[in-house]
This record gives sequence, C-alpha cells and structure tokens, in this order.
Amino acid sequence: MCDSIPRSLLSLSFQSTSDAVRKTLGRIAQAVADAGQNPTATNNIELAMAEALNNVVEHSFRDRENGQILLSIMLLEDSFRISIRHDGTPMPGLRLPAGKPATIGNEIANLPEGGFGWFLIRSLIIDATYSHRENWNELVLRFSRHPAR
Amino acid sequence: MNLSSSSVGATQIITVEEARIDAAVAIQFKDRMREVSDGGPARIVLNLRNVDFIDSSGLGAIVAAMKQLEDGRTLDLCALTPNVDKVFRLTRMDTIFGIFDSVDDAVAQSNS
Repeated sequence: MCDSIPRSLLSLSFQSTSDAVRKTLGRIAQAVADAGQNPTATNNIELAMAEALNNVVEHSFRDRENGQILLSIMLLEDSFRISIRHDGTPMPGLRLPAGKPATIGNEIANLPEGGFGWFLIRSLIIDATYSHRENWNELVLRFSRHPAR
Repeated sequence: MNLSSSSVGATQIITVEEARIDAAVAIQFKDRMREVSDGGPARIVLNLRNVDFIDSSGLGAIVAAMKQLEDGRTLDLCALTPNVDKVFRLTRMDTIFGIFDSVDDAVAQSNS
C-alpha cells in the first residue's frame, strides 16, 4: 500500500551551490506539504533545512565547486526524518554546534550579521544527529508532524 | 534582486519585489540596498509585504543594510509576513528594528 509508514518521500542529489539549495528547498517544502504538514510547520522545516544546507555549501564545500549533496526524507509515524549526506569538510571537532543564540547587544555597529543558523535549527527540530565515517558526513534532522486540519 | 523605492514626506519606502531573501541573493540584496538608499532621506522603511521566506543569510543582509547607512539614518521594517516575523522573533532581532504593521503605520509614525 502506498500510504505505508515508514516511507520515502524524497531522495535526490544536487550541487553544492546556493541556487541548487534554493531549488531543493522548494522540493522539500512540496514533499512535506503533500504529506499533510500544515503551512507554518512546512515553513519551519524549509527554514531549518535552508540553514543546514547553506552551512554545507558555505563551510563543507568552501573550497570545492563541484560538491554533491545527497538528501532524503522519510515519513515516520510522528515525524519526518531528513538526512543530508556529503563528502566535504567535516564539522569542526566532529560535533554539532551548540547553537547558542547570537549576542545582540545595543550597538548597531556591533550587531551580528551571522551565527544564527544552528540556533534556528535547534529551535525548529526534535533532534539532530551527526556522524562522520570514511570521509562521508551525515546529518539527520527530525521534525514533528503537524497535520493541516 | 528587485527593489522599488518611493518617498512619502521625509521617509523613503523601499519595497522588496521578491518572494525570498535567502543565501542565494543576500549579497545582491545588501548591494542593491546601498544603491537605492544612497543620498536619500534620513529615515528608510523597508516594506517586506512580498517576502514569504527569509533565512539567516537574508536576516544578516538586512542587518548589514542597516549598518552600512551613514550616521543619523535609520532603517525600520513593515508588513512582515508570518514566516518573516518568526525569524525576527526567534533571533530577537525584533528588538533592534522598529517594526510596523503596514506602510501607512510606518509613515504615520514619522509624522507624529
């Protein structure tokens, strides 16, 4: 039966460019919306995935233009499980960033222009796991299902 | 990255004519903001009515657009859609910018 759970919603590979990330985010949002996720929760997934994938493009493939990123989405009973795999530069210390909120302060000249990515991701997910084996990195993010009514 | 600009009294309204401010256009956005705001009035209101997606790169570009203004000039925001409002609230950047519901509200503020 095609509605069985778990089931694969999307599986694709794309180039490590910000234009390809943008296109992929559209596919991700469409796939989770088609699986019944409400619009607000769909945007939460798109936002967290934008942060995670832009980090890969900007940090893991900073010095390589032809990086490939593999992405898959599994639909589970209560969650979406999204895997990002690539063979670029691993996470520093082979660990996920803590994702502390950036310090804002009062001085406009000193306002941060970045450093929000992992804070946003951690605000939007159930959990995240990272592994590094034989030059391959895998980041798995899980998101709660929030069906549209 | 399309921006349009108009003036109401001493306020310049810059409207983002795109659905997304994301990593793919963040640098263009910052550069276009510099061109469009150059030599304009002291107060700028950025109208985000058309924007339904922003990521942290886009947020950083809006912060950068404010920081690159000459001393004495301000950048306020208006007409944030729910997805954009969420990013400003989560990152606490809603405490840094003046945020108005609409262009009319933002303009009324400068007249009062």
